[in-house]
Order: sequence, then C-alpha cells, then structure tokens
Amino acid sequence: MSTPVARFPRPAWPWSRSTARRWNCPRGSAPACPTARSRSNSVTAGPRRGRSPPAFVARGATCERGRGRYQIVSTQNHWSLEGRETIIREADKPAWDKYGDELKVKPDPIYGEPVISLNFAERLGELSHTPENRSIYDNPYNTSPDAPDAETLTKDHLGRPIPPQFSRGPQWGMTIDMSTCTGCGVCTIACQAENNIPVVGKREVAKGREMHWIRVDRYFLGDDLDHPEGLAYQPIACVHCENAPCEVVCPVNATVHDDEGLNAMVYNRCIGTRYCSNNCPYKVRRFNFFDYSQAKFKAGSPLTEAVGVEIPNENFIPPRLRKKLDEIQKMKMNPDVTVRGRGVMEKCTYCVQRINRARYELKLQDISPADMPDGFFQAACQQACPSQSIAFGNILDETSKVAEARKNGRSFGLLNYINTRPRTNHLLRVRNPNPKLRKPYDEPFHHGKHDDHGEGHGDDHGSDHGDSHGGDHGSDHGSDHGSDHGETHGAATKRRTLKLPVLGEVATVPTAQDLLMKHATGGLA
Amino acid sequence: MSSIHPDKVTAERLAGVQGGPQSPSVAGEPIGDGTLIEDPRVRAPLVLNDRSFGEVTDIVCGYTENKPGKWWLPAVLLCASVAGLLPLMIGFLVITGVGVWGLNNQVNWAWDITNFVFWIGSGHAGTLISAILCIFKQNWRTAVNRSAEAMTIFAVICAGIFPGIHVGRVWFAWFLFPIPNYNYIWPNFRSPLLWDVFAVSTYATVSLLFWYMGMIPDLATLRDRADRRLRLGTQAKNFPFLPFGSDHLRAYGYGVLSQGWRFSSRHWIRYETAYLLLAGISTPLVLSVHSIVSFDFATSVVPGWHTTIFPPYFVAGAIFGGFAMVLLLLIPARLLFPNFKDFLTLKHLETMAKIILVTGKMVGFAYSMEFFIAWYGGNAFELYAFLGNRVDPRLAPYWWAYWAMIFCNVVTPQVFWFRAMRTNPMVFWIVAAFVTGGMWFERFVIIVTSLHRGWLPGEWHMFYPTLVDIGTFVGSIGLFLMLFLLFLRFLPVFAIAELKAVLPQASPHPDHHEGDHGADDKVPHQDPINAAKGAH
Repeated sequence: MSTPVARFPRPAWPWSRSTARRWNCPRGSAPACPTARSRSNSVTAGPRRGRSPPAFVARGATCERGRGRYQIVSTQNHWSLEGRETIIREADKPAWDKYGDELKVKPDPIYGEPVISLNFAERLGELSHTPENRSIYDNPYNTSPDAPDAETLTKDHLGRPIPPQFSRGPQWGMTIDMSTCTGCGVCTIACQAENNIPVVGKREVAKGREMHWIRVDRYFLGDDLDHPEGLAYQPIACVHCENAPCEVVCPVNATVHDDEGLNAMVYNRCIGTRYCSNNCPYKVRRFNFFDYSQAKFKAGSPLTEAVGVEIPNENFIPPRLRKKLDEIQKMKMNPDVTVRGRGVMEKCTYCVQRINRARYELKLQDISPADMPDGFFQAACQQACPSQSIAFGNILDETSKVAEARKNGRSFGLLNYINTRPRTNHLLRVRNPNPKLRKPYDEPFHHGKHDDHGEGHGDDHGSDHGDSHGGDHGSDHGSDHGSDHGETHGAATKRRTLKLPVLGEVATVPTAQDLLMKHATGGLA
Repeated sequence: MSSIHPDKVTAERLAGVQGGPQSPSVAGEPIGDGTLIEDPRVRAPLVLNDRSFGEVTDIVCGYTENKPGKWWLPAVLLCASVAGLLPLMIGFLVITGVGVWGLNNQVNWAWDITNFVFWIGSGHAGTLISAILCIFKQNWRTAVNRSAEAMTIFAVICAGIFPGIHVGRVWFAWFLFPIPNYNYIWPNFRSPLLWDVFAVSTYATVSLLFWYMGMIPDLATLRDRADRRLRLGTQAKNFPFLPFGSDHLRAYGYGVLSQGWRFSSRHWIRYETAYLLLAGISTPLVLSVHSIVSFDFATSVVPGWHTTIFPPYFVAGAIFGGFAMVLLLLIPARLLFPNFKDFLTLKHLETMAKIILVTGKMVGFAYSMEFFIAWYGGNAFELYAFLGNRVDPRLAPYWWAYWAMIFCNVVTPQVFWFRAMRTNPMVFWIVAAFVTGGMWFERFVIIVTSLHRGWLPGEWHMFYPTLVDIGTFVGSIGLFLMLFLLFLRFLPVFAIAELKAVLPQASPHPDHHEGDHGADDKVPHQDPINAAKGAH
C-alpha cells in the first residue's frame, strides 16, 4: 500500500449536489478512479502479470489521495447514548442473579399507599421516579384506583390496573429481547417487504427521510468513537402506547386507538400536519414527504423509462395515465397492505393485515379472536428475526409467549417515564463479561460506585437522579475509563489462568501460553 | 369660557378654523420636538404644531388624496414582485410535496411553523394598542392604532398562509373544520392545532371587524371630501380615455365602504358602543390567541417544549415583537410622509420604547426561567434541551441561533434605559430591526432546536433549510410590505376621528385644560351658572 491513506470526505451538506457524484470503477479505467486502484480491475490492460489468481483475490491495491467529495449516507447516524441510560438498560449477570426476581413495591408519594411494584428493569430506569399516574377524573384512558370500577379491574403482574377498555381480549402486545437481538436489521427489511414501505433513495436518506417502520438504533459504548468498548442496539418500532402522545395532537383524528390496543393510523384521514411525529418520543412515525411509493420525484423511475423521456416533475402526469404505466410496479407490492400517497404519515401497525387475516380464519372456524392460539400468526419482524427476539401476541392470554416475556424481570417500557404505557416492551440485555476484561457490576442500584462503566447504571435515588445522569456521566465515564483501562490492560498482559464460571462451578482453563509452555517442556498431558 | 356659551376663540377652534392652544410653557428648554417634557404635571401634546381639526383632516386625508412621494410606486412594485415569489413557491410545494422544504422525520416543523408563529405574534401588538390601550384610556394610542391594526390584519394574512400550506395534503385541509362530512367524523378537539384553527380564525375575524368598523368614520370623511370636490367641480382630472377620474372612484369606493355613515349623533353613539364592545372582545384575544398558539408546543411531550411558561412567554414575546414591527414600519413613514411627525411624536416613540423595554425584560426573564427550571426540575432531558440543543457551543449545532436570539431580544432593547436612545428614531429603528429578527430566531430556536435532538439519540438529525423554505418566507415578507404600502396610500393612516377627539380643543370640560394652562388665553374664567343668573 502506498501512502497516504484514502481520504475521507468532509461531512457534506445533504442537498449539495456537487458532492453526490457517482463513482464507477469500470473495467479498464482504473486510472480514472481517484481513490482506489486495484490492479485486478484492469483486466483488459494487457496480459495478466505474475500469477495473481483470478476473480476473488487481487494483489497490489493502492490507495491514493483523491479529489472531490463523496457523500456517504447512513440511517444509523448517532453513536452516543448521551448518558441516557434509561433508554438502553443493561445489567451484568451478577446483578441480574442477585436482584432479578425482586419486585420492589413502590409507594405512591402522593397518596402514600403502595400502588405498583417495579421489576428489576424498571428499577434501573427513570420510571422509578415518576409518580403513579392518578387522576381525579374518570378518564377511560387513565384509570386510577379511584375510578368507579377500580376494585373490579384486573391488575397485571406489577399491580397496575388494566383499563377497562383493554380488559377484553385480544390485546396485542410485543416484546423485543435485547439480550438475544444481534442487531442484524432483518426486521427492518421484513417489515419493508411486508408493508410496501418505499425505498426513498440516497438523497432522501441524507435528509433523514428514510421510511423504515422498525429501525435498529445502534450506540457505541464508551467515550471514544475510534475505540468503543461495546455496542448496544435497540430495535424500535411504534410501541403502540396506550396513552399515545400522537393521538392527542392529531387535529383531524387520523390516528386513533382501537379496542385491541393498536394505535391505528388512518391514512385517508391524515392531512399531514406532522404534529403526531413531533410528539412521538420514539420518533417512529414516517412521513411521505414525496410520492415515494411511486418514485415520482426526479430521475430513475419506471415511468420515465416507460415513456422514454426525462420527465422533470412527474406530478404533472395525470394520475390515471401514471397508473397505467405502473402496472408492473404493482406486482412487487403486498396486496394486503395499502400504498400510502404523498402527504400522509405512516408507522408500524403491528402487522394489522396479518391480525385481520388471522381473525378471519378463526371466524371461519367460529372461534373468538380472544381465543386465538399463540403463534397462530406472526408479525413480519417476528417472523424474520433469526434469534427469535420478538414475541408478539395477545397479552391477556396467560399462556402466550409475549405474556410470559412481559412478566420477566427484564422487561421495561421504553420511555414509560412519560407515561406513554407502551405495548411493546423491551427486555434488557444481560451481559456476562469476562472478569478479566472488566469487573462485572453487581450493585446496579447503588449510585456512586463507579468501578465500572457502561452497563447497569441504575439507582433508586430521589431527585438527583436525572441531574446526575445528564450532567455527570460524561465526566465519570472519562475518569473511570482511564483508571480501569490501565488496570485491566496491565492484568491481561500477565500470564494468568482464566477462571470461568461454568455451570456454577469455576473451571480453570489454561491460557494458550500455558499450553505452549507445556508443549515446549514436553509435559502435555 | 364655557362649553355652552363658547367664546370666540373656542368657537373657532371647535369649528376647526383655528389652531389649538399653544404648546405648554415648560420650565427650561423644550426637548426634542416639544413633546418630551420633564415636568410630570404637564401632559405632553399629542399632536404638534397646534393643529386644528381641519388641519388634521387635511393632512391625513392628504396622504390618500395627494400624489404619494416618488418612493412609493417603486417600493410597491418591488414588494409586489417579492410577494410574487410566494405563490410560485406555494405552487411548487403543493404540486411536488412537503419534501421540497428541508424537513425530515425528526424535525417535522421548521421554517413553516416558525413563520406562522412569527407572523401571528407580530400581529398582537396592533390589537393591544387598539383594544387594551383603549380600555386603559391611553390617548396616545390614537397616533398608532390604525396602522398597528392594519399591520395586525396583514400579519394574520401572512400567518394564516403557513398552517394552510404546511400540511401534507393541502386539498384536505378542510378536514380541520367541524363541518358535516360523509365519514361522520369530527376533528379532534383535544388537539392544540385545532384550537389554533379556532383561535386564529376568531382573531382574524375580530381584528378585521374592529379595524374596519373603526375606519368607517374616516372612510366617510374621505368619501365626503371627494364628493364635495365633485360637487364643486374641483375634482381630479379624468383618467385618460375614461369618463371618470380618481375622485369618482374615491367617492364611490369610500362610499361603499363607509356604509352610509352620516356623522349623526345616533351613528356616533352606536359607533362608540360598538368600538368599546369590540375592544372588550379583542382584549382577551390578545392574551388567549398567542397562548393557544403556545399550546402547540406546551402540550406536547417534547423536551424544550413541554413547559408551562410558554403561554405568558409567548404573549409577552408577541407584544414585544409586534411593537418592534409596528415601529419598523412607521419610523420610515415618519420620514417619508409630510407632517407625519406631528402625529407620531417623539413622545409616542418614547412611550413605545418603554413598552418594548418592559416586554423585552419579560421575555428575557422567561428565557432565564425556562433554563433555570430545566435545571432545577432535575429532568435530564429537559436540561439537555438547553445545554445540548441550544446553549453550549461545544454540544449544540444551533448555538448560534440561540445566542443571536439572546443578543437581539435581551441585549439590544437595553439601550432604551437611556432617554437619548429612546427618543432617537434611528436608534429605535435599528433596535426594532434587531428585535424583529430576534423574535424570528426565538421561534426558530424553540421549534428546531428542540426537535432536532429529541428523546432517543438514535434519531437525532439536523435540519437545513432549502431555497423553497427561504423563498416562501421572503415572499410572505413581500406580501406583508406590499399590503402595508397599499394601506398607506389608499386608506386613512391615522384614526382621524379618534385623533381629533384627543386634541385639546376637543375636550368637553372647560376647566380641564388638556395641555393648555391658559397662559395665552386672555379670556377670564367664567362661571356659567352664576353668569346665567346674571351675577357677575
């Protein structure tokens, strides 16, 4: 490799067209490719030199400083959690072993009586500091113990009363297990295929308009982007809040709550004020800024190819003529799901088309949907997930996987602190770090012991919780990082036997160096 | 002198053929144009140069009757061409999609709602001047109330454009209104956007009624003057190739608009009653409309938006920005129109500077309270909305917008502590320009900086405006200025009737010397009752 290394582009303003040049490395034109050269590309330039094998291996690649800028766009744009550990909650296995099954009864600070209990995951986050959502008004969306039928209301496993309108099945819910999630992102693709989600193209992704209904947020742990200490990822789709902030603010009632717990987006009523998306704390709502589904802005559309002429703005073509020319495009769509037009908001629907299909099937058998057997159908993301991290089904069905997963001490509602009451719970990730790499954190509720960093920083302090999370964490990470790192690095370089807790027992495993020594001394047994 | 048996001087004054009483003599030099009086016992004259009723009428009607200055036509043409940008941009937007703006799934509102709140806020000063100051019986308002109300109307027009066009499907914007439809669905009354629809449309309606109704006597004056010229044969020349001239158009146009106003006492009684009623209705609107607009933000869960200080903060900011905008328009008018300075005196400027200073301090207090409560409340997300989204240049990419806002809104009006600055029109205009820009930045900061970094860092995304964003805003500025220039030319710029009512010679109380200390009045005081009884 010749020096210097390939040049990285400066971050370019997204709409700057000059930066979005197309880079081709056509065969034979290697000299025209400014950033990278590979001799294997110059297939036509004379006889093959040496004995470099064909096709898959090439030698002699060089990197040269290029000219110009090339814009790279990504949907996973932010790498830092910014100290917001209530979003991605993690715990180390020792902490989970110690406290995982505990349910802490939380007294209501206003009325004094014990109201709900918090599981392990919720104790780690900010929910522990919010007062119980009680109202003096009888609001069907906000059932309180003072409501008329409060005593007769069923309560979930944490003692929270289930609002009366959600007490008859089926009530759809989901859990996403972040311990088994590998961050592969196939849920995003499956959802895209199932729901006719348009591909918006590079220019629009640069502006932040990708249409993925479920996305995997990826964060690097640690302080240094170049040397991250770990990776955390979290798939997020619409969590179908029981107390949805989006429903309140839509001026035309285009997003409403149905009686099975789904937050229903009504495309034909939506006029596109986008307030729902502003108010969604999870930012899972996707707006059709252009007519993405028909690819009707700028070049590259099948319509242009069909007509044969570059059409500057295809909105000028009358709709019926457009439809005629787009027949083939229709074949790639899922006929069970509509295609959204320009100016409407869309979001995850818990695959309502699959729910409805399942309901029809059961109706043909004269079975009530509340008695739907668990696993009768699957959501698209659930179906595609290779590690089966997503459980989806009727949460009132005690035998369903999703009900079981919700009872798990690892389950928490993302941002439930603002009382959205999400139906999709995330299960926190339990890490089992090798003690040689770092010391596992086993006291997650005791703030102040910053022996370790990154995971499981929860506590049940009072008022300074939020403040310390926001302000101090950056600095704490920095200071601990320095001290810890030196220590563990030093330890790792020494020859030590590793102690692994295997099945509860500690087994002594020799290091590679031990084995080599034994081999060298002929003592291999 | 008595009002029942007026002396000759008073009689002539009341008939409008003589100037008013002389300017009050003050201890020491009169400052400025004679209205900046140090002695608090002396009320400053509201109209300079001892204008009589007739002179007031002639001057103000002269703005519409005489040829405007050479500057007027080029200014209108320039503003009209800038305003022409607006329908082009809107057309492009509606045909192509909201994506022509720089919005994305994180920042769903940016310039569109910033402009909306900016314009609607600017309009509030007019209503305050007209309605609230009327109820407080602040007579100095008569110099600005007509123009300020006009500014309100035009600002509301510009404001109303933006919510209409910012929706993704403009052709369905009628869904917002609670009218019967075949889907049997009402709009969502829990939504602040719907409250906006009602608030802004109420505000527009009431402001328009108030402005128009207040103008009726003045329009009738213009009508009658044109009519008299027609009857006396001194009307303007006919237009080329047409059988009528501008006075015919005036008589007809103003005649229709004045709706048969006869200047009778009956009309005046009803006018005053209606005026007070509309002032009473408009007064709560000043407070409520912008509070409801602030609910667009305050009722959401977005950190940086969800604060209870927004309603009073927005209302104070609206008055602040609105006063600045009124003066941004009227101070050049002072220079460009003849005799304008007699009506809009330095005293008026000084009073309005004080209001700007007060509301500016309220706004500054609100800024600091927002930040303080974000810290004191212990909410990390809310605190980060300040530190990371706005204040800290190391963290916040929009820090320059926040600090521009602080400088323009909090720092620049502080010059008004000094009297020399308050009474200097050039300084005033510069400060007003800064404040107007600062208020735009305030709404930009509130909307964009809060949205671009929300709860989940994985979705943080920057916002960059596109040319269409900028063009739409510039076009709305052009529309506003064009409408205001047309107003200056074709409608009575001052409230003639009200202005005359606050002249000293209009006071019905003989003993109540409005600025007249009788120093030059040689007629001795007469007791009317005893005089009638013959006692001397």
